[in-house]
Amino acid sequence: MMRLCLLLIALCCSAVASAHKPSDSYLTLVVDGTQLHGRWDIALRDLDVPLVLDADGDGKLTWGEVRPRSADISAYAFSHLRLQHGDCPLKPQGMQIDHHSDGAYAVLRFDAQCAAAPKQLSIDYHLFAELDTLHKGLVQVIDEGAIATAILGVGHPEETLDIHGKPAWAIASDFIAAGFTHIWLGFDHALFLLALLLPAAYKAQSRRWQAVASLRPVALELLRIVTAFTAAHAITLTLASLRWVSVPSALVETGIAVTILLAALNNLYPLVQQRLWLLAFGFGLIHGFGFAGVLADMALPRWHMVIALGAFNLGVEAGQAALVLLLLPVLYLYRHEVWFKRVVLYGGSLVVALFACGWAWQRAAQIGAIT
Amino acid sequence: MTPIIRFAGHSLLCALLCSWPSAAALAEAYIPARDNLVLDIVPARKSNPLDARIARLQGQLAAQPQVFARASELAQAHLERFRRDGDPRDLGQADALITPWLQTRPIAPLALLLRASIRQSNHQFDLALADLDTVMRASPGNTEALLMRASILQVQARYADARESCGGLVMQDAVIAGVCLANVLVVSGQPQQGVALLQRLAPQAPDSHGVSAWVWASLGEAASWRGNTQLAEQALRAGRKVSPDDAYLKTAWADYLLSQHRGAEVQKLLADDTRNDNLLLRLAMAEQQTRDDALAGHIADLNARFAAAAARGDRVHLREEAMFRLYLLKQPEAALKLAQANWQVQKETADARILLASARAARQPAAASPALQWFKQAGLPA
Repeated sequence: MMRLCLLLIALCCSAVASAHKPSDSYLTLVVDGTQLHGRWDIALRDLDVPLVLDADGDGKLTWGEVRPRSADISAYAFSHLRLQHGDCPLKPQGMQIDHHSDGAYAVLRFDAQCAAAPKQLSIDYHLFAELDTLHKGLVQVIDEGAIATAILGVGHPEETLDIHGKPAWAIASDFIAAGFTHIWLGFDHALFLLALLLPAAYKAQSRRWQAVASLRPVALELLRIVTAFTAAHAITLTLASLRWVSVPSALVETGIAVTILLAALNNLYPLVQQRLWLLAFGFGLIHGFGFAGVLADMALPRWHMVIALGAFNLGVEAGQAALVLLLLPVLYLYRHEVWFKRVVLYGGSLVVALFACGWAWQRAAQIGAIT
Repeated sequence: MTPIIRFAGHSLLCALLCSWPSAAALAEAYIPARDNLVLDIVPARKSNPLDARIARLQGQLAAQPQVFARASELAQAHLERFRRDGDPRDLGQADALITPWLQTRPIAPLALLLRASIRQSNHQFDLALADLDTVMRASPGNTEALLMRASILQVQARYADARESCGGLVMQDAVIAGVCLANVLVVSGQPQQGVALLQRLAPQAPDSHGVSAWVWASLGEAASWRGNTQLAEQALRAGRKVSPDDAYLKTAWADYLLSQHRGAEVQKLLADDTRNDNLLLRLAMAEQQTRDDALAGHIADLNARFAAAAARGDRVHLREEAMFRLYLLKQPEAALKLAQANWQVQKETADARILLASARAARQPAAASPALQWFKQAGLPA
């Protein structure tokens, strides 16, 4: 009968499987020339097994029990990790605490000084290898915005990752290109601009659009709209990329759809007749949060983020300028044609409004599903 | 102009306000201010008998690292705790304990049995069966191997083979053999006979080692699948009386209550079980029924845990993730993909249920046909 418990474990296990998140540690290494800056998050629950952190055994692991053991934790962890076969010795920089979805983690910060700037980085990972065969180390090596990842564990304790360093000009050109294509490929931003620009060659008079007489006001109006939009989204893009402000993406996406809808509706029935640039500014703030998703997830080092932000904004501006240069002659030349006004201004705006309506509906439903 | 400017202002204000809670969730690592701050809950080796036993066995193993019995006892205790808590750390720790002993020749059958049990829990069914075959070649008629083999074959819907394995147990323990057979009958076309057999055997099952809890759970689930709610409730309550901490029984009881729209009772039952993903999923489903404010936070937790599992490349939790996507996130297409992938691995009633429900929600009747076929052959209402 003693061994019967084993049987019953076996019988019911399939339904119990994976009821918890298994044991993982998260190791992030940022390459900085010959130096590496590291952060290693290890679950306190895992460290409790070899180190018996819960001194009084009551099951409640307090900071008072963990704090005096920080040297043991550090010694234990770093004796199970080697970088570059030991050529980049590890220098612990203290311990903090963070909370992940499955509990509290010790956050070990460390530096490593390599003899030469690594082109490839070999990581030798043996944490908990003799204690828990399901444990895995999720490794991330960040170098100049490029991220290489590896999942290490008992079956696969060592990996050599390529490091792709990039000079500042290469980062800048990458992000200019990213900003430019974001306007042209990110369909909703282009559509919003289009909706704002369509009435540029007209002036609203008593809720109807009248063609303007000369080119100068058209060009000035376009310039004002585009500049206001750019300035606004540059502000929120910066705030969000630096993680000073974060807005749920479902909300931003819905907000963007609503701005497109309102801009298009205003073309059909002009409520806002003057200072369209103010509208562009207000809505640009919302669009900036939308752009930020591209940058915020990259975990760039701070000065790279600054270059990336500047370059990305430049790219977005260039993309918009290209759109304006394409539209301006067409809008100006045909502004007196009745069919043009009907098909392009009213028809185009109607199509944009319908698109935006669909998006707003779809994206709002996502918010509903999440909250 | 003013209404539109005001709208833009409102949108921005709302965006900024909404950012506060998520900004708080992105809290940076910190150094706690107070020593008495409880950071986490770990196994309580002073107060909990099983946790204490594991701590004691760890000490004994450290004193006698060369003795297989010390390692195997500790591995079994870890498996027992896995059954209680569902924490895969116990599986990994049991595996690490027996790994060195699998290098020795001849391999002890118990080491192979333990590895088979670990592999079964990781849904590596074919590898587990291979281990069991090795055991049975060395010791034909091994009780543990036969029973574990039957349960794996049943999960794989290989019912004839499963029945045969149960039959091999009759000489060793008639009650266990009967329950084993009844479990197969319930899902292979004779559910009525299966339930009757379980009803007859339940009072005879010994309380020790979880046998009784296993029989009551089997009966409760089978009765619930057949729509006999009175019997289901009776059986699950009886099982809970014998083993109140058993994670499997807790899940079955929560599922039963959810099917009866008794979400408030589930919330009370699982309030302290948020560490267990399966039970957290049930808790969130209960909060959905009662429209509790805690739901959004628990959905975010589950999202984070499934994302973390995906990051480490796990594919063990397909059924639960499908349920999460379908019932809580309302993403029927994504749920259906997961349910289909899960169906390739395991074919239990809950797997058929989620496949059918997500296929219906995704309006893809063709995708439901394997599940409908299964219900028809099982003789259970879909």
